[in-house]
Amino acid sequence: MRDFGVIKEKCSLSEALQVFHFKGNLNADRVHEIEESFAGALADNQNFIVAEMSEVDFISSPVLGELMGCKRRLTERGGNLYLVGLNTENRNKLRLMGAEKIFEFLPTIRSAVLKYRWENEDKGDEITVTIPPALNFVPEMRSLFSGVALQKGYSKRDAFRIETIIDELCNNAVEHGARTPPQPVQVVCRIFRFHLEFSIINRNAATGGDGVAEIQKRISGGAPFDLNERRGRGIELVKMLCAEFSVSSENDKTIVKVIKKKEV
Amino acid sequence: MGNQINISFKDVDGKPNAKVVEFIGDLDATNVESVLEKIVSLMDNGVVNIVADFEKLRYVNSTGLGILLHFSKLAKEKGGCFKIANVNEHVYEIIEIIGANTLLDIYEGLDEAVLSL
Repeated sequence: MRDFGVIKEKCSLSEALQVFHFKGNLNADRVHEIEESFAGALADNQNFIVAEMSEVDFISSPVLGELMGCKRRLTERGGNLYLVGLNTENRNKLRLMGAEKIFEFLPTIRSAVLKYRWENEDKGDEITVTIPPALNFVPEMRSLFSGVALQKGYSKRDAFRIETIIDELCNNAVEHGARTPPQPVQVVCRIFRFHLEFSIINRNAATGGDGVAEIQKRISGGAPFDLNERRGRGIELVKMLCAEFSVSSENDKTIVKVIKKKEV
Repeated sequence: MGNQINISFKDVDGKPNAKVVEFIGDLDATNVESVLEKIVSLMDNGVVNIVADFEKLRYVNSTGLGILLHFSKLAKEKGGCFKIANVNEHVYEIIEIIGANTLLDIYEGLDEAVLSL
């Protein structure tokens, strides 16, 4: 058994977060000390706190109550309390007590920092993937971005729509991309809390110039859409699923950009 | 790499020129050709009344929608019909957004679609 302790320290990964390292048994008789530690942080206007629990052997119900109360107080001030590093036994116990509905159990301080940044800085995360110009690579591509969207809190419906958008745009890029020599298709995705931005880039002879103009015409509604015609269905779908849709040509590259907003 | 779709055929009692075709997987640009070949071959062999069971069809894209519209047109030209049943909500949304629900014969349940043949 480790001795009880609470060590307050700065977070080396982000100045915005205050870390409390807890140790030993968090018995009911420790509630007052824990409450005072949190009260001190709140008095110093530290609104984002990480409770690091990797050296905690036991968490009593009153201490859990105090953690919940602290989280509520921080949330009311626009902040948060992140629970980090719980061992399996404590995690299971807290789950049984329903704490999982209030806290997300994070594995490391770094994951708490990433969550803080995701929720508060909204700088987005960027993923770039490049595939050979072959249709067979597109299903994996659409599945990847759909999965990322789900993981980032987008709904199943949004994830499906994102899958459709990536599928249609990548198929177009492969279909119209330069073949000799084969040129890769690049997808750049920036994921934000409430929207995603995609750029699909390919070297392109067919959609350069006249091709780009034709797509621009379809996007703007200048070319009538006929469901019975093969061409244009994919663009029409993407148009309906995205908040913004544009295409441009730079040197020998065609760049399609779309913005998909999160369903609310 | 690539994407799998499986289709299987079931007879319809008392209707030798009809089949239920079950689609399993994703219908997209990587596999439309093989599906096209199988369904057209079926129609060429006199099976012109088809019910496509989409219960296990997870995904369809614009290329897939294109061949569904083609099957519908082809079946009508041959004096038959191409009906769709059990469409999941995501696939239905794609069909609806593009406006294909106005051209395709879509039923909620398989039994209802089969009875309408």
